[in-house]
Formats: sequence, structure tokens, C-alpha cells
Amino acid sequence: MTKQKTDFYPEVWKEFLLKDNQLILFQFNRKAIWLRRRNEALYLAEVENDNDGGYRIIRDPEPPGDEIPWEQYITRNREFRFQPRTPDQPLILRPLTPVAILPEVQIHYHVAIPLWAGLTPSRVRGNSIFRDVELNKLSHTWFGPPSSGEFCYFWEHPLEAELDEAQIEPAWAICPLTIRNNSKSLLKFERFCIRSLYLSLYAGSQSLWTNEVKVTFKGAEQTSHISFSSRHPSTEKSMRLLSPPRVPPEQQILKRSFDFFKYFTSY
Amino acid sequence: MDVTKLFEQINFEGLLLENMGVRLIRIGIYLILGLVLLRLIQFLLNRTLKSSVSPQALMLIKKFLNYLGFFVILLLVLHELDVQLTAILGAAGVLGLALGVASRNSLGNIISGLFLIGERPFEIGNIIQIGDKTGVVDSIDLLSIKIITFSNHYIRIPNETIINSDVVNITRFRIRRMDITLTVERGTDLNKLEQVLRETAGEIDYCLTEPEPLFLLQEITETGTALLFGVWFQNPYFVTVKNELLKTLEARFAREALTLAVPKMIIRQSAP
Repeated sequence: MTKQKTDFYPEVWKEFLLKDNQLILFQFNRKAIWLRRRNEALYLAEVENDNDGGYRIIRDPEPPGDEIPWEQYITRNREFRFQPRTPDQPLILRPLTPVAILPEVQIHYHVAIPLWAGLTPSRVRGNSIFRDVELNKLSHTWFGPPSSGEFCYFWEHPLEAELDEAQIEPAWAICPLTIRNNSKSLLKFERFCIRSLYLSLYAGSQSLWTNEVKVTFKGAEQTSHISFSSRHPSTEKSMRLLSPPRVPPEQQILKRSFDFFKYFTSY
Repeated sequence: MDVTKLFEQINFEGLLLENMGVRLIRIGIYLILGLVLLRLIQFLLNRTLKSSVSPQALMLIKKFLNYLGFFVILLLVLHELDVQLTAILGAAGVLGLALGVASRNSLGNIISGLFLIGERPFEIGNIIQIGDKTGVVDSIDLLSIKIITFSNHYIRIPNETIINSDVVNITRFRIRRMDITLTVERGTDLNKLEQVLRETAGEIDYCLTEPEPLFLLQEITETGTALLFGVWFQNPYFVTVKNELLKTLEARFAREALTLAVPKMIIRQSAP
């Protein structure tokens, strides 16, 4: 990671104090989050940037213009933190080049997962997140037939076997993914659905990681078996758990993960 | 049914002679307890069945039990008044037959209502279109359904009408496609036009990346090239998507110098 990014992580996920009338800016590249405290109220504004603004935390910056949309939260707390969170819907990814996995073969990926930042008062037990901020611009999409699919986010970052460390953004987490073809036919897919609601987030030395995911394909007519490991990935010896999954996963989940049928959406 | 015969059945003498006060108290208790019990049953049905049956089935079950409950209370009251129930039930049977013949339209609606419940072409909360009427389904009853239009009109539609008509359930599925027809001038760069349309759809928040927008060239006429552009979107956002899409297209067309075709008529006049 560049020096700017190393200054940002892991500072961004730590507690911060917001004094009365103080302004803090959290710059997540294309998303800026302004925070201000005044008279027992916390003011938050979320602003999109068209250009890459880098990753910075600025205390007492130049005040923004009046046009930014402030939201007011009544609270006596002065210490807060951003808790990293996984997307609130599954993610659809496309491989960079068309992939075909032969029977009884598996492939490993490191998938970039876009993060949300949940604002919570510090030192409060349980789930106390009162504002979820989407840090990456994701488009809405649909996975499956028009009559029976599900809403997902489309993630522009392609599905690749390896992630270049220099490309890893602080607003992402890395998910070790294994796809195994346990069927007798070729697994050729154009889109892959990753069930991000079941992912936990761990703090690595350089970036955030999720728990490992294993997807076993059993044939086009059947749903795939998806399993989530219950501990941090083995890339580093120890990693602290920062965020539990939005939805606790069952031991094995049966869900559609691959999309290779052309549904009739045009006549 | 002869009402005088009913009065003849009531043993007024018995009432006068036999502790009328006690009987009236008993009738009062039946009425009060009966109504309270009916309310309790409605409440318990709501709590236990709300999550397991559809709202219209729950409504019908509650109405059926309500009518049954009132009928039982009525029988208890009549029994307390020493009315001969067998005669009444016999008369009711004849009355029922007469009413049935006289109200065959209503019967048709009731039977159509039962078919509708079984078929479930729509549910409470769906937006449906029947003929020229479009609205949100407010209730599905034995005789009719009620819809509320977007201009807040309340329309009652007999069930028989629905069974015999085409019903469009607009919000049956969570996504749908919005089709826009355009005719552009002959000579327009159609590749560029397609790119502009797809980019515009990509800028609208609630337009879905997939299913991909449909770009379909329909025909080439003297006036221009007619095409269909369809974007998929999440159901609750029809107005937002339509307004944003058309506004953005208008601006983008102006920027890219793309022009819609204007209907033309060429008149050729031959020399005399």
C-alpha cells in the first residue's frame, strides 16, 4: 500500500473523540464523511467525490459549503468509531476472462469485498450502529430469473486469482475464496454471486480480511454448497475480529452461486 | 318467511310467568359474552394465522367465524325465548332457496371469489390493472374486491368481473421493465445512440445493471428509425426511474446532438 493508505489503515477503524464544535473529515477516496458535534447532537454528512480523493483523516479541516446534506443524531456520546461492515446484499462479480473449471478441479481466488462503515458510539455493548455508510459506489443488480431472483450489488472489481497488494484499497477487505467443481461437467460461468452477508471481518497487518469461503458446485441443476470458516484466514498468524457477519451463517448454505443461463428478458 | 309465525313461536306467557328478569339477564349475558368471545377469537386468529396465511384468506376466515358466531348467539337467544328452532330452521331452508334464486348474481360473485382465493392471481398490496382501472388491492372479499387508485379513488369490482377479465398484476414480481419507444431521424449513428442510452441507464440509481437494458430496433420508416429501449428497475421506484431517465436522456440527447424524428409529410406537385 502507498504511504497515504498505510497512514489511514488501521487508524480509520479506531475510536476517535469528537469535542464540542469540532469537525472531522474521513476521506475514503470517492466518499467523504463529515462529522461535527454541537450541543449534544452529532451531525453527519456523506458526500460523493467524482475524483479520487485519497484516504485521509483530517481533524478541524476547512468547513464544507452549506449545500452538503447534514443529518442530525441526538446523543451525549463524544467518542465514536467506524466499524467496518460487509455489504448488506450479496455481490455479483464477473471474471476478467471467461472461466471454465474442469470436473474435480478447484481454484483459489482473493476477492476484493467493498466495505460499509457503521458509525457507533464507543464502549457500547451489542449492536449499536446507528448509521451505515456505503464507501464504494455499487450499482443495483438482479441475480437469477426476473420472476424469482434476488437483489444484489454489482461490483466492478473483477474476479481474479490474485490481488496485487498495491491495488488493495482501505475501503475493501480481502476474501479468500475457493471454488470446487464436484460435478461431472465443465463449470463455465459468467457471473459469480458471493454471499457477503455471512462474512466476518478481521484486521490484518496491512488490510482487512474476511473468513474463508468455499463453494462446491454440484451441477447446474442443483444449488451450490457454500461453507464459511469460523476463524480468520491462515495468511497471518493472528488477526483480531473486528466485525461479526451481518447474518450468522449456518454450517452449510445451499444457494445459487453461478449464473450461466440466459433468461428471457427480451422478446 | 312469515314474521307473525315467528312471533307466535315466542312464548310471551312463559316469559311473563317464569321469572322474566332472569331470562332477560341470561340473554344479556349471552349477548355480551358472545360478542366478547367473538372479539377474542378475532384477536387470536390475527396473532396465530397472520404469518401463515395470506391476508385475504385470514379476512375470509375471520368473517366466516364472525357470521357463525352471530348465528350461534342468535340461536341461544331464540332458545331462551322458547322459540321452536326446528320450525325456524325449516323456514330458513326455504328462505335460503328463495334468496338463492333471487340473488344468483351474488352467488356467482361468491363462487368467483372462492376461485380467486384458490388461484391467487394477486394479493392485498399488489398493484393491478383491470380494464381501464389501476390501483392497489385493498381487500379481497366474498363478493368483490376493492382497489384504491393512485388518485385515492375507492373502486369496488365484483368478483365475477375479475374472473371474466384480463387482470394485469403489475407488482407480482420484485422487478419489472420500463419500455420507452423512440423514433430518431434517419441517418442517426445507431451505435452511438445505443451507447448513450445504456450509459444513461447506468447513471440512474434504481435501474438495474442486470438484467441488461433492452435495445431493440423495431422498424425503419420514412420518418425515422423506431426503437424500443427497456430498463429493468426495482418495483417501488417507477416514478423516480421514469422521471430521472427521461430528464437525463433529454439532456444527453442535447449534448450529443441526437434528434428525435418529427413526423413529416412530403407533398409532390406535378406540373399542370
